[in-house]
Amino acid sequence: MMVNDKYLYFPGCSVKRDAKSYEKTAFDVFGKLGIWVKELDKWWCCGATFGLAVDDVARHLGSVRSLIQAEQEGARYGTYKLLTLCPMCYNTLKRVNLLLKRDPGKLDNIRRYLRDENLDYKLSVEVVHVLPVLYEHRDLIRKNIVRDGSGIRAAPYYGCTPLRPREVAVDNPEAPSIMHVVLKSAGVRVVDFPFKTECCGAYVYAYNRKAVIGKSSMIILGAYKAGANVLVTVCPLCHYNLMLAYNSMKHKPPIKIIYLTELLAYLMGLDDNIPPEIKSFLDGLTPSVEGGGD
Amino acid sequence: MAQVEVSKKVEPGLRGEGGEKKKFVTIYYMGKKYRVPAGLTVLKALEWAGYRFIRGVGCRGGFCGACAMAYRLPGEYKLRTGLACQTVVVDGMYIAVFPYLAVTKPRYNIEELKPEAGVVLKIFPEVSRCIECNACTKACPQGLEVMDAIQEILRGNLEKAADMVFDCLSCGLCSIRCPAEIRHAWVFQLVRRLYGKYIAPKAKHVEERVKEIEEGKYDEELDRLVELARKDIEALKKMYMERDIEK
Amino acid sequence: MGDVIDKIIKISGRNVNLCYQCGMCTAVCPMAEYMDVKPHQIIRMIQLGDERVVEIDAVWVCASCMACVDRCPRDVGPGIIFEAVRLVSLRKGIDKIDYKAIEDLEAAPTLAMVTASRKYTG
Repeated sequence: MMVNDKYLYFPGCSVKRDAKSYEKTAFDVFGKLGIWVKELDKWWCCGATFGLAVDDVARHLGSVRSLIQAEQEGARYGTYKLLTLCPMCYNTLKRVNLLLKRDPGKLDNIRRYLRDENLDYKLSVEVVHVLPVLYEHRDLIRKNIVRDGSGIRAAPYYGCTPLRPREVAVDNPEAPSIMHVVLKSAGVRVVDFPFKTECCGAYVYAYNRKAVIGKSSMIILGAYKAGANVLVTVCPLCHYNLMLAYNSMKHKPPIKIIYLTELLAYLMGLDDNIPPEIKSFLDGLTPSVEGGGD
Repeated sequence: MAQVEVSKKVEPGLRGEGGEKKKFVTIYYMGKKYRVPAGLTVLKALEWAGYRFIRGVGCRGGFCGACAMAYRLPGEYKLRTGLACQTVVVDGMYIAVFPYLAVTKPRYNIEELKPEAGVVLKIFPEVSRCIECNACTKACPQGLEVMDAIQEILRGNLEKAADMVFDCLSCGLCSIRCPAEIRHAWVFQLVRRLYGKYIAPKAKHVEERVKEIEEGKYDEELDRLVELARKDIEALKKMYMERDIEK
Repeated sequence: MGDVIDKIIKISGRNVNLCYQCGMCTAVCPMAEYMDVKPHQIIRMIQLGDERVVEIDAVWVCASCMACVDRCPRDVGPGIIFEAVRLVSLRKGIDKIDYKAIEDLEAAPTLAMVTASRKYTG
């Protein structure tokens, strides 16, 4: 296999437990594109959400542990770029990394705590999200497409964590377009809709379920009304909340919520790890498949 | 530790078996100073000093996890943990032995559960509060990777978690150090049970033998042995001693 | 100003007095429609030293999406201040949610559980 790019990989708990098809299809796509990805031998929950209080150093420990692990493995594998699929892991790891780079006091604090365990962090890791990686390889994606995506009208949904705060944004936080471009390169019709950066409600599901269902329903209906038949997400939490909202709807619009890599794997003909119901839904939108077409 | 302090005259300068002068060290138990022979475990030293333990002590061999203790050594800030029956006294040591650690034990029916992380998180939602400080791992007298096992549960790998905590004694020291208030011992017990019931490969030969027993394959043989026991117990004993174990 | 307000300022590390009440935070807040007191009003209460700010439900509906933090023209960081308001309660060891009351908790992804635990339990 030709290696075009090398990354260490931080999976995250939810990708391992709840979004297995997201990870597996992503790896299928990476393989096809020649992106070399090595999962960290050991990693720890990033914390899922960045602790905002200025004195809350303890909550960054999980992220720091994984950054240290990446630094140690980076020396071995010759890359210090740490790739994440889950944007919440991306957001948390990136912000912790940035905080330590900017705030020597906090770095020192953490170093002194971790000295007991013979751990130290030298700030060499760069945290990367999958979206810009796919964007960089858009031409290769185009070359590897084997299915006709013209019947798929995909609404790219970014959510919050890949874009905000702006210091960690993977693209223009107000008008992101990289997922649009990736999808376009994959040959599907891209549907822009007004709620592409709107919050799904995130962890509020545990406190005010109605608010989350309200927000997520608005996003689904917004995409549907804009003409989409597929709502594309990159986040396991968005996926969960959107499905929560979708399943609570009385009149379910004919739109499917899927992970970006599931769609890319389908269009590249990498069917092994696509969940059967998503595969059959996409088959129904593909002209070359019997009974398919829009 | 529920205990009774029994007054006992301590003779300083006791001699050892060979007549040599025994070495003594000073320890502080619940703030009170005691001179005890060097080389004893904390548990024995406290008993030597006159304490009698009626709870919070068990096997005395480092297996039951009943005598959890915390201590500090002179000249350092670290709060160390261990089992009182396994930790040897050190001069200037400050000691607290815990009779019991409050951990509510949830009730569940293992038959109704599934081997999934969600099941563990529903019964023990505090597992998701882990902030990865690693205090649990540092406290574990068994040297288990406690924090990593909790992390494996969060990512849904119950098999790995169960394997990592096989040697847990349920002493509870990790739980009192945990800022997330996780009830580790019971979490791990549930994980091991789920593993044993649903994940571990079944032992085929045991199942086959149980089936044979249920089908009455050994009834005749057993009747014969019971009859023999009634008639000639010595012959039965001889038979037992001379049996072929490998068969 | 009272202890509670001091604490909020200290643990958020932000300057509420910069706020000129333009209302941008409320306008961009995705959860504003579910809030009893709107984001800019909460900031105003803190400016005025009103300690009832800790009783507001709205800070618990905030999803920390950073929409207000990114767009605030005065860099007040309302979303960060709301976290500080939450922490004033949580740091006393008080939980805001009861796990037992969460519907279908077994199916919630780890990421949802961890975030909820960090934002709603003390």
